[in-house]
Amino acid sequence: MKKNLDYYGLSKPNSNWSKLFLTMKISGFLLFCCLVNIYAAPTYSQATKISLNLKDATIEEVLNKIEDVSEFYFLFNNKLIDVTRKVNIEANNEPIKDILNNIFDNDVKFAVYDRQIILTPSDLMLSYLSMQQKKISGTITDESGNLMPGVNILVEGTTTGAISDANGKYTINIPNENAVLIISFIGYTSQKAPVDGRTVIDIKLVPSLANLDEVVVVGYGTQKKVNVTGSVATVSGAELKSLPAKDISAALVGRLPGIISIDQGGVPGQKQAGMSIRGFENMLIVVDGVEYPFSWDQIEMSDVESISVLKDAAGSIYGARAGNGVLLITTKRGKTGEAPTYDFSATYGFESPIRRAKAVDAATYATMTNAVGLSSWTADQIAKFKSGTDPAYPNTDWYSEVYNKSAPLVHYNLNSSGGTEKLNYFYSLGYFKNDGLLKSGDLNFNRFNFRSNIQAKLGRGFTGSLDIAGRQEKLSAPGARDYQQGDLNDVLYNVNQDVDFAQPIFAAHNPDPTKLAFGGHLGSAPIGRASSYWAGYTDDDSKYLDASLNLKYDAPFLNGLSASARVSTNNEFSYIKQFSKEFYCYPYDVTTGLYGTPQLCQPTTSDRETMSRYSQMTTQVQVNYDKKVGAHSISAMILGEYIDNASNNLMGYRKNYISTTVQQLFAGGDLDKDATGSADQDGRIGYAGRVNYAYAGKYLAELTVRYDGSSRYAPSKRWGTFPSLSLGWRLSEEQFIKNISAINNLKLRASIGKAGDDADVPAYAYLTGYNYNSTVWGGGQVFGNTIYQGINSTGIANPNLVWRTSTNYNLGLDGGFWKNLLSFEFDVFYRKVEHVAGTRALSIPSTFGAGLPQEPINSFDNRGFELVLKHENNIGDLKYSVSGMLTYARGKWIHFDEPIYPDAETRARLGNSGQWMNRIMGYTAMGLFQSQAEIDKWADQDLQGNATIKPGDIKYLDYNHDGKIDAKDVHVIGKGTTPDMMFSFNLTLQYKGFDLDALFQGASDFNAYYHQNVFENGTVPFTFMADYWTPTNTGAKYPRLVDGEAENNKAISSFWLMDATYLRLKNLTIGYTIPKSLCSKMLIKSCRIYITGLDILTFDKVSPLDPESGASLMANGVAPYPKMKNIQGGIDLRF
Amino acid sequence: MKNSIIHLLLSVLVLLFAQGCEKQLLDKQPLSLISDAVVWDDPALTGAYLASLYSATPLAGIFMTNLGGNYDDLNVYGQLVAAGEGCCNLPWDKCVPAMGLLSHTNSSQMSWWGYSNIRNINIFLVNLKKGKNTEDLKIQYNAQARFLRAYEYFEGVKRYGGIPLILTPQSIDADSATLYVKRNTEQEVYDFIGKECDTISTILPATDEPGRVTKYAALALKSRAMLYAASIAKYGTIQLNGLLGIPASDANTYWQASLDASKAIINAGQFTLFNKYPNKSYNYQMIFLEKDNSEVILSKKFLNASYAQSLDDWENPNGNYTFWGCSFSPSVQIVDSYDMLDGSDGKIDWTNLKGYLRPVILKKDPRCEASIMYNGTPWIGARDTVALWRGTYTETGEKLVDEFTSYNGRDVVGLDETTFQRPSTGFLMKKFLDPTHVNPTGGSSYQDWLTFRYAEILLNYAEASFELNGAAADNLDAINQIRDRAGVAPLATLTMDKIRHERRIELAFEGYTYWDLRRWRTAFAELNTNMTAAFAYWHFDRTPNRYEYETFNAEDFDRVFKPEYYYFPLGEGLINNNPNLVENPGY
Repeated sequence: MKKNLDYYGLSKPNSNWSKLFLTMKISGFLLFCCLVNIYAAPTYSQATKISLNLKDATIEEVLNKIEDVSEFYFLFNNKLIDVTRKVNIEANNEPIKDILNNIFDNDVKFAVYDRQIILTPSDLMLSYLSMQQKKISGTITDESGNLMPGVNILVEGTTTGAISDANGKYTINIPNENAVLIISFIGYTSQKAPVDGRTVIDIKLVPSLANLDEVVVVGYGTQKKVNVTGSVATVSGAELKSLPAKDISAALVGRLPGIISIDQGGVPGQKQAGMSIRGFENMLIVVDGVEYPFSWDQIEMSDVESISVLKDAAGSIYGARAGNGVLLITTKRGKTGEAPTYDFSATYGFESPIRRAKAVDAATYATMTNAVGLSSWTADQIAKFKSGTDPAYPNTDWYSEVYNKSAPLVHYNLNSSGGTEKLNYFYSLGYFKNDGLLKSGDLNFNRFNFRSNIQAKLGRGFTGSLDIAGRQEKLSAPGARDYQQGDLNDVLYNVNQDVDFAQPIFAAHNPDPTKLAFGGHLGSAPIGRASSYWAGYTDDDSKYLDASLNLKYDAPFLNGLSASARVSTNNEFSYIKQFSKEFYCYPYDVTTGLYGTPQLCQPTTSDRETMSRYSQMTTQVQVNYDKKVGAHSISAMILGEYIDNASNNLMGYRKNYISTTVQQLFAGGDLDKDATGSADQDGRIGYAGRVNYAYAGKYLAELTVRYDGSSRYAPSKRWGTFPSLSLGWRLSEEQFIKNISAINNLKLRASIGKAGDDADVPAYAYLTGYNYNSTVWGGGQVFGNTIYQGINSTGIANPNLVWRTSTNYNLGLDGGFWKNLLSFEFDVFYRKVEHVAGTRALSIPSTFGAGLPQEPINSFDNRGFELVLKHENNIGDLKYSVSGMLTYARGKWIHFDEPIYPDAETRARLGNSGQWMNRIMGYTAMGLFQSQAEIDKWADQDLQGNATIKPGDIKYLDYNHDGKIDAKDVHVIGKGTTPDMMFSFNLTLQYKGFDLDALFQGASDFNAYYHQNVFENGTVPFTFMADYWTPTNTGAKYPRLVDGEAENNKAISSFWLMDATYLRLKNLTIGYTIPKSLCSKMLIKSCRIYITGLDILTFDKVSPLDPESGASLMANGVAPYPKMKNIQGGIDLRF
Repeated sequence: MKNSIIHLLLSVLVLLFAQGCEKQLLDKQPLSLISDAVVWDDPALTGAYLASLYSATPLAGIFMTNLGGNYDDLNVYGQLVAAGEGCCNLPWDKCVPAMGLLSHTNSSQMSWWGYSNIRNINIFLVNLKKGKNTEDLKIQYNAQARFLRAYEYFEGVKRYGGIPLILTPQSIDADSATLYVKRNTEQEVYDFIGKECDTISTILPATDEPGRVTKYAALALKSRAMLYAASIAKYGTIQLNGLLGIPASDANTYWQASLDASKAIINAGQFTLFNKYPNKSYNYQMIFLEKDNSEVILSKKFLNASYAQSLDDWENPNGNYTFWGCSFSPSVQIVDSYDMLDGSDGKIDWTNLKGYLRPVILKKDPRCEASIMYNGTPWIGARDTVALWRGTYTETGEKLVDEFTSYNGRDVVGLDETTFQRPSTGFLMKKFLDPTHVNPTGGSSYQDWLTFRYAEILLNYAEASFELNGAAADNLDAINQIRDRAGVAPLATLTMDKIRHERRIELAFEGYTYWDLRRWRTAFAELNTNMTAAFAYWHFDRTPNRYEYETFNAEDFDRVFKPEYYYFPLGEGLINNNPNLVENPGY
């Protein structure tokens, strides 16, 4: 489009290119990523040659044509320059200056600044300039004080205007003292500034609230937000930047509508939280246009430009993998014309457990063990435990002996970006360290990452870009599982198990430090277990390398046509070493000073090393065409995509080490050594097309279709078509609404689309054959002195198995009122998932003998809605926004293949069809039995005439009234452990240099539960369990104490079910941006310091459980590694 | 023009690329699959399939599945605990049948529904015939696989009574009449097993690689199965129109069939009772530790860490530094049931017993010393004897039972008592354990499991012979051969009770007793008795190692055996899945 502008007082634009290239070289060197020969290029205007052949065309047409075929744009006032004059022009690869000279002769002067060409009438120039009556000057800055070049300044009611220079400075001549300046810039709110006798007027621009030009990333491209017809939620890097969460998923919770997240653990570097879109299953992750097969949680936040979530038909363009929604992560790149900037950010902070159940103290423990007959401590002895003065009666808090109260979090990132006409770049280097809480210091996570995104104009319409990103993650933990390949969570479970089983009546340390203290439970020595020195270690070392080469061609012969090709590779190399050490602990008798028989804590010294690699090669070819004819605009895209995956791993194992001095495989004994490996591969092809149509910016339509093939399915079934259609109607562009000034945006969206989900469907089910069995797990047989390898059938082939298909329906309404003082987005969705793989239950009886192959026979649906409400306003220097978000989603089985149950009662217990998916089955608890008489007249709960039931046990409802409590009394007692509802409230404030961001996030409609007998498995009770039933404490919260397992009380019942609704202050950030003036003295462009906290407050009813941890808490009486809150301070510097 | 050429080239490239890719990408196949076509022509692969069939067949008695350290312990202890041979010490395991909790909705414990393996055997039999292996190999493998199928049916029929006999692999497309099978009668299943064993025993050689089925393994299965059938005919009742029970009139036919099979093994002279070591208790221990000895007819073999089980890890006392340990405790009843050396009643007077237990045990049947671990049993590990005292009496007569404390310089509680898997009776099982295996871990035990051993054949012979002919020289001789080898005084006369008693002692903990009590229909009389524990306590004011014993109920529940437990419930899973299957009565 031609920019018709009035101008005056244009100052010299920045063209300090050589300096730019020098700094680029330095930054490139610094970041080790000098990938493209950087050269001092001629400017765009010198380099660009234009071919034109126009006859009898107006100057306007010629200028339009030039704008179409090049990046030049013209600034002029059409009142002063006659553009209706007709000219003939024939240019063959000529520089712009020559062409313009030919058109204008001498009546028009032109000045070329980079891509910007300013036309002035040569004769009028001086006379206009001499008309000046008063000169106003000033500086224009953005809300955070950055200088703003290119801002338009217009005198109201006139055609007099100016544009700010590279330093944000402008000068303008005004006709009189009453003049009013109008200052405008794309993306910012226009301002009026009455002159009122001033000569210097500095203006601070504020970003406009609804940015009509805001662009969002969608599948294989970008779209203006106003034109988006699907349900797409976006969060930009700028928003994420001020929130130094530990990982991306923690940053998304509560900020994107439709994201349902349950963050269960606090283990450093732990892979992504259970996050889903609208409660669906595994979502597809796409990073910079390429399917990302790895753990994406650890992608450096500072590298992220934006994150988009495609929730409905918008995802269909990704075809067979997009059925659960798509998360698009886009990384930063340099912008053309962007001066080189260096951003350095550093955060340092501490994390500490949100909560963790505490074990009872020694005196309480002694009292409780006495109560169940496990011990017979006298009152005198218990008093000694309480006072803690007698070393023979210790009172040990094992948790505190093993865990610190807090652990440090450190994050540094240095990045640099900039761009010229020829080349733009973004380099980033980051380091993240998250130590665990263990006092031994042996639990920690380190991440080192780099990224280099470089884009270069190669001439002849070609643009090339090369993105390389690498990441190295190292996770170390004490202890290793010898006999099975446990992951980090298993190892930490061992530590927590020792901590939770160790009795407070044992001292934490022996006088001889070479003899580990015994925790009172078989083989328990928490301090040894939590230390690599004693127990060995698990080191998980993962390296990721992603590279992507993209070549784009903008066809000069047809405006709007472009083609691109991309080759990407994503690689993961992981190496896990688990070195387990045999170790003992020693019971110690304080009175005699003697050590008892050593207890075996870990029986084997062994080494298990696993190396795995995974690689994905993606090739994409894409052609785009955009065309605008009058009010119609059309854009179209076609795409071919080829994905090739391969993985393999290799494991070696030895034990029988005679010494631990050399902790390598070769040093182990030859007996019982083991080595194995595996390999896998698959391939996929997709072809996709998309057409967008918009009429007058009012009626929007998008049609996509994707045709996908996968090697995972039978040849006859492997191709599938995934179409989608979405429509939008921007009501606010209609005249009848345009007149209502209160409404500034109203858009109705509707979409329907199909997508697939192959993640939960077995691959290669169409092939049948045999697999080798692992003999270790019993696959073969020994005859004589030989192990005969066994083979097992892979089962009955199912050539029909294919991805599940989901059909997404979405209806949305976006609105903005009173200049976006209030805006909302509302989406209602329904998703039907069919061809869900399931095993036929009825058609084949058990005597058939084969596990039937999975068949695509089941189906379920999801429904729900999302609502986002936002209020934004500026009052003086105060800029604030308040927003709220609500997501509600539920899933229900439509058909779940199951037997024809003999009666309704059985169906209710065992059936799934027609039932909500998120539910818990169990007994209804009726409180605790208070007397034997009450037990005697109640239903038979233990099927032994209540012989084992005693007062203080849980009483259950006889649901089917048959006089006994058995499996037939199980019924739905509540919702499951996934929240059906998520909500959040976000408040942001900016005042002068200060900013604040507070995010409250919560969830409801789900349950947490645990069911556990106090002394089962030899655990030490937690403090909250001390409120147990006794004949004198009949109002107790928990049942009577039992030594060991009381099946009656442990059954899943409503007794243990807790409403897990919670509200959490997920994030609070307070920052201060140092004033520009101060910055420039320090030779920096900007500086912000801030303090931020994550999960710092929680309101709920399930303590000491964490509401997000749900049922996973305290399995077998072992509390998991606690979930963390953190507080960090940080600084962002820009040079 | 030039640009158009570039455009054209680009388009062509795209097309070429796509064509090349498609073939390459979409024809990828899994890298671990062996194609069906090659298996039946290749003796190694056919043999591998057969090895899998062996592996899936529960030849390892009480273990069922048993490798790699995490086998299904419920089946292990279920059979011994339910039989009243002892108690399970694993705090999370309850013996559902012993507690009387078996029902239509709670049927899984000790269940065995071997149709998956039966289908695989049927597939094997069909494909073996079609393949290109040598005729001789086909004949041999056919017979071995049929043995495994007969064995599977025996495991089924002994639990549920009549079950469907399926002898060809069903097609998934078959009509519902074929697929929705009905139960065969109990007699039909036993007849099938008997007939199969007859055929197989004529095909298979007398010897083969140890671990493979031979002629005598087939005869041994027949000897056992026919004994069961005969008992059911004689002592059981017919229910569900013959799905359960066998006409009493057929009892003698089955006794005779069992007797004939046993006789064939005995007369062949290939097997003898293991009698290598003069120390009788050591000799009895070594039956289960010396691989492929003269008594073994068929065993489930283990070799090394690549093919191991976890017996030593689960059963050793804690003093042997096992990680799990002390999983199962024999009851006082079984300890008492071992005779004295002279053949007199071996019941111990626990109330008046003072001092060490060892001298008392050594006066009993040596099989007791070989099978039971008690406080003072010499054993490997950190100390030389097993420490299983549960408490201490002080000078003042106070009883201390606190773990990990000491009194007068000695632990209050014995080392092997201090675990969350406390030996609930004061005893541990010694039978099968390898006394040279120090610090056992999961999946590190290699002793074979004896599926059939010669002693059982002698006992089967004696029982069948007595049932047919009453006391006679041949059955007395069979029993006395066993007693002689064990080192206990021979019997002068034989009664049915004595035969059954001998069987329970000789085959203790080998997984026979529960099924024997059921087929004799004596379980109701015997298994409603609670298990007793006898614990040692040491006395301060006597010599330091003097003990007293206290007996009490070992378990916190009452033992229940309901009459309907003579057959297990099929359970709602199987019935819901096929309405043609009828649930057993009483559930």
